[in-house]
This record gives sequence, structure tokens and C-alpha cells, in this order.
Amino acid sequence: MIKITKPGLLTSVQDFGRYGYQKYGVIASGVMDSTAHRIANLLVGNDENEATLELTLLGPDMEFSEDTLISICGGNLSPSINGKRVKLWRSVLVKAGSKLKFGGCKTGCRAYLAVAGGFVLPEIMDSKSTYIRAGIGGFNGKPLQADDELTLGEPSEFAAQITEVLAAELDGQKFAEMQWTIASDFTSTAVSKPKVRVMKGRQYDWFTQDSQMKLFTESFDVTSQSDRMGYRLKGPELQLEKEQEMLSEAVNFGTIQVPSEGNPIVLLADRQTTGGYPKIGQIATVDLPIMAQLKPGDKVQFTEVSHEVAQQLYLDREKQIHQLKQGISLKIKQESK
Amino acid sequence: MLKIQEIRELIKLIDKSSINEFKYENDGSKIVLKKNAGTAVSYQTEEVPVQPVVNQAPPARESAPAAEPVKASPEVQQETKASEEDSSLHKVVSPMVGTFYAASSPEDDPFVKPGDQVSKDSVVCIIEAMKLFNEIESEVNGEIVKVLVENGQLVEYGQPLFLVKAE
Repeated sequence: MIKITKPGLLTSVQDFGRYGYQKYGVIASGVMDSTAHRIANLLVGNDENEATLELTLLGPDMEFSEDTLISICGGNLSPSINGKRVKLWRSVLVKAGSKLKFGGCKTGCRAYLAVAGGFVLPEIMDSKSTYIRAGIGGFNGKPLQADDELTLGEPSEFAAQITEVLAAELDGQKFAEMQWTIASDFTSTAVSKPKVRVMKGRQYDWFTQDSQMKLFTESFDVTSQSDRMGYRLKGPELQLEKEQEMLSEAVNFGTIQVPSEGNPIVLLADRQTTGGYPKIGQIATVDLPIMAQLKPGDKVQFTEVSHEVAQQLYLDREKQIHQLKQGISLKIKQESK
Repeated sequence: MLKIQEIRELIKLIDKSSINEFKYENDGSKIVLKKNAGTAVSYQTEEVPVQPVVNQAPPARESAPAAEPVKASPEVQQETKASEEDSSLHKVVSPMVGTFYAASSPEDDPFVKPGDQVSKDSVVCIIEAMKLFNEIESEVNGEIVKVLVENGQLVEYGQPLFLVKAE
């Protein structure tokens, strides 16, 4: 069991999200940075979709009442166990009675804490994700509070093997970290002033040539009106050629919509199900984790990419993750001999 | 057997002295250091006619003696290095086939460079295989003498990566 002693700024249970219910107005929710979430799960022998804790800017404090295999991936929120720094992107075996704390946010915005076996929580509409505004899913439909106690599921056989490898390294310490970590192809999402690849949106042609050009040449600031639902950006004003209205239509994770005042909004995990503002762009799926790790005050630049290239990038990324999965499995096989 | 540092020290001392030839024998190993006075002299005489034109007599004179140890040391170093590599220096070898990285990311400084002190659990490099970064430790306390591979190079199982002078 894990007991939350301090909740942090915003700590919620998330998996890949609640799909198939947007037609009823139920938003998808789910993790903001899916790469960090998936890898955190892989490092503790979980299914990629198992729920993790999404920690935001200021992480929580917690206590472990049993020996637990964990991993922390994504932004660097300065995690430490009993005062000793813990490395990110690694399998870590934590002894019962240890205290995990987070300090300042050094890079990125969000970290994902996975535990072997996941959390024992009901699936509501096929997902454990917390839909905070509606009070659905996760732990009682809310972000975690002090004194919440999370029950851990049964670790997989693979998790048991990882635990065995790490147990041999414990040497009386409160925790043991794996000697190997994840290649920087996956871990370098928390970068300053990143270039994020964007496809033209459905109403791209509605915008003035000047606005179209500025979208891909100038940089935008992430304003403080940014959360899991979307990031409001501030930069050059993006204007329509002529004023026109549209019927609401589907929006997606990474859709860039522009209200009439001209400042774009990037829709994210907790986006509404439909939108009525013209969509100037759509962020390529592979670059969504980069977007998710931006925090208010950060800058971002967009570069244009075609639909075909964005798809190819996505396929390449999936191939790399597949390779990583095999790599982890081979590594554990080799080390547990 | 003399350590490479000791040999360097000897070269410096002999160079400053009036000794032209130095022999050292111990336990079957033998070192002979010779000053190549002949060529040095001929260098100086060749450069003399140039001097009036360029008018840089003092630097030219200074550079001539300086050239001597530079000429002498590589010969000695190469001889000794071959034997040192096999004996006293610890080799950090690659435990797997993969790509060698001197730093944890392109923006970061390398973990170590020649002359750095390392302890046996210091991470000296990363070998990437199957999208995993494997941290390689020095395994001995000592000083990094040489990096034997280049950043991004593919390395084989058992290939030496670093030479470390163990304490």
C-alpha cells in the first residue's frame, strides 16, 4: 500500500483515457505525456495502459508500507527516497517503510509514477483515469489528497524478475536503482523552447497568409491559463481572412484552435469533446509529450509537417518503443540468470 | 617497471641536463633515452639565414630546443605505451555490442576526460543497445589516462574503452 502524506499540486490517477464515450459528452482524459507513462509501466513489468500517478510541478510525499517496484519517468521533479536522490527513467525497488518525496521542478512539468501491479481501482467506462471536473474515475474521482491510501495490484511475473535483480543490489539500503536506463530518444521531451511539429488544421485556409506564416515562424508563450484541458498561448495574433462561423465539430489531443481574439489554444488530455473555433493546426502525435512537458512561462515554436510525415514519425516511434520493450525483456533475462 | 609519468619526468630532467644518453635496466625491462643533438644543430643552422629576413631571432632560438623533447618523447612514449597498456593500466571494456556515448545526452559534458580522477563506481560512459542506456563504471579507483573510442562509435563485446591508471 502507498499512503499519500502530502498531495502535491495536482496528483491524479491516469491511464490512456476513456475512449468510446465522447459521443455522450464524456471527455477522454488520460495521461498528458503518454511516452513517459508507457515507459514507466514497462520498467515495472506492467501493461502499458496500467494506471500511473501523474504528478504536476510540485510532487506529493508518500510512504510505502510494503516492498514496491516503482519507476518515475517524465519531467524531473527532484524525487528522493529518505533524503537520497532517486534517478528518473529506471526500475527502482523501494523497501517497506521508505518515504518518497519530491522537491522542485527542474525540467519539464509532469512526472509519472508507476508501481508494479498498478493500483487496485474500479474501471469506470473502461478506464481508471480521473475526470476531475465530473468527479469520475481515479481515486474517488478526485486528485489525491493527504491520507489517501492506494492499494497495489499483483505484480506480473516479469516484475518479480526485475525485483529479484534489484533485491540483489539492495545491500541494506532503502532502495536500489537499475544500472541501465532509457535511451535519450525517449527521455529528451523536457527541452527548453522546443520545436513542435504541426500539420495544417481543417480551417488553415481560413486564416490570412500573414497568420499562416507567423504560426510556423514565430514563437509562442505558454500562459498561466493552461491546464490539462488546454494551453492558452500568447504570441502573434492569428486572424481570419474574413469573419465566419462554423458548427462545432470533433477536436483531438493536440488540436490548435483559434478564438476570435487571435490567441491560439492547444487542446490536451482533458479537452472538451467538440469545438467551434477554427482549427489552424494539429500537433503531430509524436510531439504531444513535448507539449505536455511545457509549463506556464515556457516558449514553443511550431514547424510544419505533412500528414504523411507525421504518420511516418508515429510508426517509427512505435517501432522504437517495440524495440525498447524487447531490450528491457532481454536485459532482465540476461541479468536474472 | 617505470610508470609512464616517471618516464615523462625523466625525459624532462634529461632534456634540461647535459646528459646525451640515458640507459635504465631493471627486471628485464630496458629503457634507452637519447638526445638527437645532431639534427637539432642542423635545424638551427638552417634557420639562421631566414632570421634576418623575418627578424624573429629570439623565438626561433627558443623553439629549437623545445622541439627536441617533442621529437624525443613520442618515440619513448610509444615504446612504453605498448607495454604499459598490457600491464599496469586498467582497461575498461565494453560488456556488450552497442553504441558508445561519452555523455548522457548531446548537450551534457562527457562523464570523464583524460586526467580525471575516478572512483570504482564512477560512471565513465554509456553503451546503448536496444534503446537502453547501459552505464559503464570504471571498476577501479584511479585516473583516466586515455579514451580509446569516439563518441557514437559502435563497439564490440570486450573492446577496451578507457585506460585507467589504478591507484
